[in-house]
Amino acid sequence: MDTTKIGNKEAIALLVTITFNNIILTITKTVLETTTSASLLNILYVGIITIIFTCVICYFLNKFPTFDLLDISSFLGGKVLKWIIGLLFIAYFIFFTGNLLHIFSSCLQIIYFPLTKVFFIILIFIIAATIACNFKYNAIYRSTLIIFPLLIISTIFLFVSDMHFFNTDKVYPMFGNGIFTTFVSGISNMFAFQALAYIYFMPPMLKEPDKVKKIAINAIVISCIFILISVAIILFMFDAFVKTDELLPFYSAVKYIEYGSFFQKLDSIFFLIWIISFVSYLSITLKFSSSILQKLTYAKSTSILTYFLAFLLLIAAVWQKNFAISVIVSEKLYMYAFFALVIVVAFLVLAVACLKQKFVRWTK
Amino acid sequence: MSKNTFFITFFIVLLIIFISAFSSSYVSHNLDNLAYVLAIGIDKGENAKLKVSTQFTKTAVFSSGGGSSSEDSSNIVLVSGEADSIFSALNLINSYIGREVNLAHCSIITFSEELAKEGISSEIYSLMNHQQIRPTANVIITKSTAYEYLKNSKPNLEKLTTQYYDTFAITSKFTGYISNLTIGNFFDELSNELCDTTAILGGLNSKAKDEENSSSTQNQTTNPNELVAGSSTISNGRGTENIGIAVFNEDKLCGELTVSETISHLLINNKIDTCIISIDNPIKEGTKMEVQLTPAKKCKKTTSIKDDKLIIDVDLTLDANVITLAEGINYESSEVLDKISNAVKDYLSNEMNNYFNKVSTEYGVDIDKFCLNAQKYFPTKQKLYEFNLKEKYKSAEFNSNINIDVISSLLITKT
Repeated sequence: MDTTKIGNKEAIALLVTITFNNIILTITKTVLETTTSASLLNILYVGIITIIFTCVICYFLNKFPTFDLLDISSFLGGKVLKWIIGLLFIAYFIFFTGNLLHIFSSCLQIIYFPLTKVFFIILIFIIAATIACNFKYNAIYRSTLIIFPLLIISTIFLFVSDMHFFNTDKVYPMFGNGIFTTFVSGISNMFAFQALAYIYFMPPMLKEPDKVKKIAINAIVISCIFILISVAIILFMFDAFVKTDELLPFYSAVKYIEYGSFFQKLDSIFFLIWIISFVSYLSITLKFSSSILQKLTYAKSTSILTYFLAFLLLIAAVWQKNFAISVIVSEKLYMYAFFALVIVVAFLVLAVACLKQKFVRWTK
Repeated sequence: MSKNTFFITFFIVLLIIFISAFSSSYVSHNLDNLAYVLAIGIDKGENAKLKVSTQFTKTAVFSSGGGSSSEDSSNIVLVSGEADSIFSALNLINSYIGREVNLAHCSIITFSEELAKEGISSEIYSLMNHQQIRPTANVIITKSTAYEYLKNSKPNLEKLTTQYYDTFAITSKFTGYISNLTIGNFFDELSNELCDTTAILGGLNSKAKDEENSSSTQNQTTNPNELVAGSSTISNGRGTENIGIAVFNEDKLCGELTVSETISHLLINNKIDTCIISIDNPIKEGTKMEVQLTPAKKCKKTTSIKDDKLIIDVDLTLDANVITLAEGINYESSEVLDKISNAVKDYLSNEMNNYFNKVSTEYGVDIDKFCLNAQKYFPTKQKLYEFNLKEKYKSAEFNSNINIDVISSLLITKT
């Protein structure tokens, strides 16, 4: 049995965990700010577009079995393009994950550790993720699969528990800020599907690379359901999020859960699940980034690369002067970077490489 | 240095760093260093903008052992201080009591009527900004000062004050005299441009008023059309009562709902399990009949727009049980039941009309979220703003369709 490759279920859990962490921290807020009452409609629409997009990139990836984006870049533009694409993706993963780490650590500091410096909370996360990343036999992918049901159960539990606070009239006006915002500029909400960025590097890691399409589609559909549930919770519960902005909308929703006078203040349980899930997300990102760097440098061991990337992650998480900067980065810059790199550059590399492959075969 | 020695040294250094970094947060969260606030009262200050009163209970009460914890008024500590903001005042109180004031168990937040009339959005936003405040804490607008209200809030039947505060949510379900209104609702409705917000109306009863030498008992009433907190005939060891609803226009208190209006409001919003109303007896003139109402179906609110006018329809289906019986009447007779049914229907229709007139025409507020219901007629937010729904609501046409099914007269069916 190959213990270094990822199974299909592990791969789906991995991709959904990535999206889930983004949903908790930034995506729900950004989606609601952009499309207000039309958020659910917009997510359905964007979800369909994302599934189509995923089918197309999986079609391209299947043309190069067991190749990831780096191998395809190398085929298309040699080492130079491979290095450019590799470094761009490492920068993307490390910088924005670091930024999310800053946001999550700031939330934890405000809620639970008011007298502890954010730096130490960030440091403890990075150490945990680095240790997890260095475990053998793909421990992080397996642990992600164990955590995955907890994410599903906790989200459904949150939805059901808060249901009696819901007011479904808040789904109107149907088109929110307008048809253009919902269906044209609202496409920007596609950045909710962060798992797309990781799909490009999955084929060589999979036990069954030919099933990348099935894995990717399943992951996107589950992510879409997660986003719909999350947005529905916040949209139906709070009028406030359209007008005011809160640190962590999910935390606000969790605070409402009460079952009699015995089960109150369940936020600690939710935070425990979110913390475990976030460590998984960090270790997945470190693992992917170190794999990319290893492919670029041909290093024998990934350990030293993981330490180096963990150090970069620490810098990416602590450079922000305040919380507001990290929120701006995660809501604006993150979106632009996602579209530029994941949707445009990576897609173009795949498409042009396919054309080159056809041309090479034709000339032979 | 071997690899193992390096890792052990590294691990110990890390451990020391994290112990020192997290110990300060641990110390601040230590139970021995915390003072749990049960209730906050906010009044207009004499020397500063606000007078904040905090009600604590002595921690020994909870640790007396054997599960027989009990609390009397001597265990309740009320501390107040003045400052320009809530948290400056809490800081002042903090310095006085020596422990860190913790709001995680604060069950009620009380504002004086005087302060509420000037607007309390800043206080509400500040409280919601605090991570310890629970969104389920009740908001009470008191007709006396908040300090007096808290001073007189002592449990009657419960061992602990917190247990008494927990009864607010239950009472609202089976009396219809108050509504379980929380700071979470208040904040959310305050943030919504289309609806207005409400709070529990509280006050001192006649006994407490006598003790406080305030305006005495001259405005006492038993008529549900006039009855609000501070005007009931209740006289008991606890000096506070919660009756009615405080109505806000944006963040300013603009009026109050009496018992009858509160029942109408709760019936429309499906926030009531059962309540008792008193109607003119249709069988024996000149007497009163008490009827217990229970919603048979959820109230259906329909908002439509016709000729630029808002039309609001409310469909209520209720089951009724006759409680007060008169001699010599067969309560199984369909003629008697029809008479009672029509009488209840007329009474409720009249009460509903009065309620709608008061909230829409007199106060100009939408506390039943009818405007939210009307949003479906507008494809976009821009169209919604152009229509100016909130302004149109003031001249809306209200139609109430009430169906009453008199079930029985409980145990005795014929007298």
